[in-house]
Amino acid sequence: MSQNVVELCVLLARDIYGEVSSRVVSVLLESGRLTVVQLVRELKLPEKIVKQTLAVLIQQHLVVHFAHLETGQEVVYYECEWTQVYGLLRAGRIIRAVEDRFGSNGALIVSNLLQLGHARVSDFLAAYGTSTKKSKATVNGKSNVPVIDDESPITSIEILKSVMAEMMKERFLVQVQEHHMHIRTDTRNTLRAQLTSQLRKSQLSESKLGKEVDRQMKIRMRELADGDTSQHAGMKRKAVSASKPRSKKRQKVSIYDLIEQEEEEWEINEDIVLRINHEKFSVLFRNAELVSLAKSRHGKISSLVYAEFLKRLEEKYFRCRELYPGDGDEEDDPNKRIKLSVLELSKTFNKEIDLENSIVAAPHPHKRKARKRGYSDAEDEDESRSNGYGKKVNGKGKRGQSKTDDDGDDDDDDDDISDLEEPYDDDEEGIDAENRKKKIRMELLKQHMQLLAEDSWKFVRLESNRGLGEWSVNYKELGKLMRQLELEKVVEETFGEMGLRLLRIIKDKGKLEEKQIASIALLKQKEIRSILTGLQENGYLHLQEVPKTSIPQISRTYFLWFHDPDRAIQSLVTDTYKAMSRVIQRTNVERAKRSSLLEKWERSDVQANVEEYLTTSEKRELEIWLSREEKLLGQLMRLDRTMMILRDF
Amino acid sequence: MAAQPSQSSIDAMARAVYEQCLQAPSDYLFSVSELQDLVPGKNNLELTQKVLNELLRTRSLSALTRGSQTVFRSVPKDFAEKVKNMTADEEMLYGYIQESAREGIWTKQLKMKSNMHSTAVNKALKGLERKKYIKSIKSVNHPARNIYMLYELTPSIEVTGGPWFTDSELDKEFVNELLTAITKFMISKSFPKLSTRGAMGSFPPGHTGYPTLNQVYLWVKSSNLTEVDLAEADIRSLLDVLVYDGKIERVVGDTAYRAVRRPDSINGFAESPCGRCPVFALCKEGGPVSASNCVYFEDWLNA
Repeated sequence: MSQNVVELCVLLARDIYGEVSSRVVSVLLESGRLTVVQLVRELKLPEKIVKQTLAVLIQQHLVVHFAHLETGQEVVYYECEWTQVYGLLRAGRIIRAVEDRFGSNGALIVSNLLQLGHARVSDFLAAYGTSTKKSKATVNGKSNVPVIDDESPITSIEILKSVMAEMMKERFLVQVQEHHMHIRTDTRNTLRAQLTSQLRKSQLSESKLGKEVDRQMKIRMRELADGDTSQHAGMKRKAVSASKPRSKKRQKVSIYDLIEQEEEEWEINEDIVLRINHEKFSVLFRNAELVSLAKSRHGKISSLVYAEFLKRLEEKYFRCRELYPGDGDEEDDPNKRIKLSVLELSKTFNKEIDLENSIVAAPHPHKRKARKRGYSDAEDEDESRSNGYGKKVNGKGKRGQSKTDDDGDDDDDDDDISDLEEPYDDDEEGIDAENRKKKIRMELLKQHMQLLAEDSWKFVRLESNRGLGEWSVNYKELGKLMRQLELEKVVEETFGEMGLRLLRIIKDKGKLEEKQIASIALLKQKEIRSILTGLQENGYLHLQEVPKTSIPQISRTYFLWFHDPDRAIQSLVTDTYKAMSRVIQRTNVERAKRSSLLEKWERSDVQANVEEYLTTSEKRELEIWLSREEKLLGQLMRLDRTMMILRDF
Repeated sequence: MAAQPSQSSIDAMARAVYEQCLQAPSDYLFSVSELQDLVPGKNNLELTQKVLNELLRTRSLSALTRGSQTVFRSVPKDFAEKVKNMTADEEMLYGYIQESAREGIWTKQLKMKSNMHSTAVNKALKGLERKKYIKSIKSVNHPARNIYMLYELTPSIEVTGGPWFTDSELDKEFVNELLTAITKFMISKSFPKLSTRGAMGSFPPGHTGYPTLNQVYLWVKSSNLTEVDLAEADIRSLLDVLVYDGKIERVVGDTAYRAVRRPDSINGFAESPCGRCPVFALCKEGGPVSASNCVYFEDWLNA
């Protein structure tokens, strides 16, 4: 863990939880696990305050603990969970994502849970129902236990519960389990010790025992991390004595859909404690990032198809990176890969695109598509020209576009032709237009998937031809690609086009001498030298010396440049952490510069009457501050986006 | 023996022998007996000797050894003409330079081969250069070396570095112009033209109409972009560079190329003041450079 992360985490903790918390975080991050006694000694603070602070931090999942038996006594160690501290940055992003998907109720639940760390469902609802009650049966009564705003729009508890259940089903919320509160290493060690003593009874040889323990460890750790994945985890049957209107509703539903009826009978178990599942949100953010990549390469429509496709796969992915990479990966076994057919996709996609088109207000639902197909018309026309059969419907009015292609495109398959005719033939066909429309849509979907698969970035991968093609996503490779792209962007920004060219050449070719690089890049050796050393300084390139003779001599040595993606990314990650710290520090500096003004502004009487109490110059200064703060925070979020790609995806 | 009249007759005889030697293939090697046959006064050893001496003196023949035998080779007329104007040193160096053909030869190597003192070599080279028998060229691989080559030859590609080099310097403008032109060409061929501006379309999957190497080559040829004679391999290296630039990609089983759209998002680090900061490594809270006294942040905030 680099110094830069520590710096950033301490800054974040100070911003949100104040000076004392940040000092606890800082000491724990710098010294590793500590007992309360050690902490008190390090911090030189009263034990009471340290304990209170620890309680808050534990509630927020920022600090985890574990009790060890040492010389007959139980000693509790505390450790700072820095990923959680960093996760504080994501709050805004998470709330926005939830609002998009679950509406304002979801956002409300999530923002409260983010403040609380975790909460029991019943407590949460109780606080909501009787909003005057401040304490929420959380660990302590410290001032930073948030109060749910009295003014918040009243939503029925039933609705909140169903939204919560929905979010739990999609794993955005998870049940807090014991191991969440414990130090991970200790959890793992205890588990290993348990397994070993269990298996030792089976009298395996030492090496076999080790392997067996490893194997079972992986299964058990995965189970722990995944939690209860059964359908009704964290749910309970609704009380039989349901009120009348509800049972009516149930009956109604049951007429249409048996499954839905069954779901109706379940509701969230109010006794469970919930927390935010950051892992799942990363999956969500990764998909969004991939969609925007697809959009930049293939335009909006393809990206919409991709977005829907990824969304359908989403529930199968619990986290971005495997717990045990390279072990039982989906990637290794084609049968284990998570795939979805176009047929399946079209079931949910239909509605989506109609929605989209209605917002765009295109009179013809196919207009965009039809236009998109315009160019393939050109292709087709070429084909028809070369093949000698013309097409009445398409042949006219499209000539202007047919210039794009100079050699006949013979590989256009027949599917293309049939669906190209569709948009224009509808009127003539009439009767089974509806059916054909469906067929066209599916064919179009398939084409978009093919486009995405054909891209050298391999957005999707064809698995089989079932259901108009089954597709999967190789997240591992795409993650690598996205990281590389980020790195390339940085290199291009800092070293210009030449830097990018050099980096990509070296990455492609492996180890190269300066002279060879220059001749491939068609650049002067003198010019590239400074760029290469610059890239080396930033940790994106490395040098390998190979002496020609047994006695190393500089003049008789090959100097080979090479690029190690992992090291390069790592160094960019560290730099990004540092940049994030600087942004926060600068924000604090800017705030401190105007502290008296801001204090005045924050007074409630001033807030109530800004016009009167603030002078013109103060107002101007305030404006500057607000715009600067916004700029800095925006930058912080963009840095976080880079960080997500580099570290999490 | 009447030596007096024979001097002119020897000259004439020598000329006759030389003419006859020239009839043979240029690299034909004459033995002494063969030449003896050519000299009129049959088997007159003394006369043959004189004639040969005369021929060697005028550099019309050059003596070589094959095994233990001495053999002779005729020297072409124009060369013989030149050689007449040369000193012995010059002639020797000329020979080596001639051998090196279109590759040229480095002065250091000349010294080694000729075993001459460097001032003598330099003097001889100067003389040859002044007479326009040889010229100095620059090699791309060894720009610092003094390399000489016969005046009438053009340096080989290995020496000049190929079409990208002008005066052994890489012609950056030339390369960039070609790259830009080819990029434009690739873009025009890679995306369908749509009726609406700004809309993004793609060719259908399986499209094979993307330009191949040969098509790009032919387009460059016909477009009058350059007078330089570019080979298909040269175009390939240009396309490779574009691939490395991330502007185009290989498609259809690597046989064709197409332009790609570049993602427009900016990296959060690169655009932040720290991403461009020259003293980023020194930046530390409480240090000489820190977030509080950072000028780059101030500029960025004011921007």
